[in-house]
Amino acid sequence: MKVAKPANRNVGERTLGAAVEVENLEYTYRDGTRALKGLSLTIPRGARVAVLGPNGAGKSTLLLHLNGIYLPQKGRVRVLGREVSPHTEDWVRTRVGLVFQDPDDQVFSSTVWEDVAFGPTNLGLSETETRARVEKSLAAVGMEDYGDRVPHHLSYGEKKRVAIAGILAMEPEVVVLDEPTAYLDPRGKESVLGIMEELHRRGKTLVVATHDVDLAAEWAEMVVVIKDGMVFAAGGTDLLVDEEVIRQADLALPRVARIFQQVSGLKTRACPKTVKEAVEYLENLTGHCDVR
Amino acid sequence: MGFLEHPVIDQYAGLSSPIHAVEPRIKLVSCLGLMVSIVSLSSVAALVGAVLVLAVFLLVSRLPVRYVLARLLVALPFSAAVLFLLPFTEGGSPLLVLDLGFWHLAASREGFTHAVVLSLRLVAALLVVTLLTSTTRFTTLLRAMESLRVPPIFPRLMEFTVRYLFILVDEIQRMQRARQSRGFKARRLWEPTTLRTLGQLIGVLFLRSLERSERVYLAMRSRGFSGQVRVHLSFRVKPWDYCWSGLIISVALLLMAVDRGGFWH
Repeated sequence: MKVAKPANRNVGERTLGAAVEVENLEYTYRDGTRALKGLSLTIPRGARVAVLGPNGAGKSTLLLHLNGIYLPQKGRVRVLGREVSPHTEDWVRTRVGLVFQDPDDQVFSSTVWEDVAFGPTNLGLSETETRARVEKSLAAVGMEDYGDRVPHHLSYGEKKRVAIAGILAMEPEVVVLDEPTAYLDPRGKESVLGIMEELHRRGKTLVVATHDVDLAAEWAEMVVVIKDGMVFAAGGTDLLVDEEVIRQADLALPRVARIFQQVSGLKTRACPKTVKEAVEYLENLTGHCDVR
Repeated sequence: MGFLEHPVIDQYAGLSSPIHAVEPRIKLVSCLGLMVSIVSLSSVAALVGAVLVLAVFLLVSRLPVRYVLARLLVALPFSAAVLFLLPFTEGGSPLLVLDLGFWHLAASREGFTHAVVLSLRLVAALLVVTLLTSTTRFTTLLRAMESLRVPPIFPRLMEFTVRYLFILVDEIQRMQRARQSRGFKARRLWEPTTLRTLGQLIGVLFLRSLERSERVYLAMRSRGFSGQVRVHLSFRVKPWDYCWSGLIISVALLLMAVDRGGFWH
């Protein structure tokens, strides 16, 4: 994928079957903060997208537009081809699920089961259908034995999984996660990444807002860098080792790339970014000079 | 910091006893009815009877005696104040006269009886509440209220309060530790620095709660919440529930009869 440097102009041709299309989106908060200043973005169906950017770049504001919690003040947002508006906001919330960063903001019911049932019940589904969805969603996050538990007795990672289950029970096509791995211990992180992998396998479109460049390098296939309320750059994971992008958007090199840059003065573009790429690179190298 | 520990009200709701087995809506209504009839009692005999009957119920419910007594401690300050004040403020036949030189204090028998009646009512009412809330899961109780057409705002409000109370308590605890680790010690309350620090703590808590409530609301809307509370309920009334209702109605009627001097005259 080609790097679209300051892509604040129109994204151009509308991808057929795009999951989400955002065009010239602007949003100003009541206190006068201009959070989004003409942001445009196309997310293909089934993609794994990492949205990166410094604090205050407008990531959260963008995410809240994706399921109609905020409606565009200017510009438009299309989800699966339908424009998000007051008429479609109920529908868009069944298509785009938003997992909040702090599970305590999302998991509010007094039992896990009831919390996961909250979405389906709001959709007006029958009791049998609700039950089926709750069981399926809890199983998908490995929490099927926790239905009767009280959320505040759970660990942070468990609460996070319950929050994800609550979104899965809405059976959305697009799942948006705000900092899914923040504050998690390695095991919790592993388990959330596993859930994300499984969702991808089932054909869901995944959008992840994160500060974690290593996560973006390892997991994403598309990277969107946001700065000052606009898309600064969008493209493949190569963006993550693009010096210009990193410097301008206050990002850092992925850890693997940092090592290779210091060791051999590699040209940034060819530099390995993930553990897998590094292993391949090293194997190539040792194969060439036959170190034994 | 004992008072900051998470309160648990339904820790014994998982036991099994005939009282635990009563259908939650019936239990809620019967306990409320029993409470109203108890509060209307005004003779010591009837109130003692009520407390005894409730003690039997509590024994049947297998709740630990220590736990029940601990719940009764709430009544202590009120009862103590009433027992100390009422005998002296109400007129009647003197029970005890204190002669403190120029002060002449008389405790009246009527005042004392009145204080005992008030305390007994409180104790009996607390026992009913303990019986209800300790043998039923908190969520079940809320669902029962919803099913009884209590305006949904009340059960929801209770649910949110209990859910976020813990988070608020955790937040206070974290802030407290952070202050302590920078050398803050709560000295006497009237010292300016202590007062200012505590004021700031309360202010920050309000702000954080406000911000969290906004995020919680956004998260609820994200899952299709549109202001209407919907729940699926599944309660079933069994023969035992009719027996229980009959039992409670007879107990209430009996107590009221005793209170009015008995139907046997």
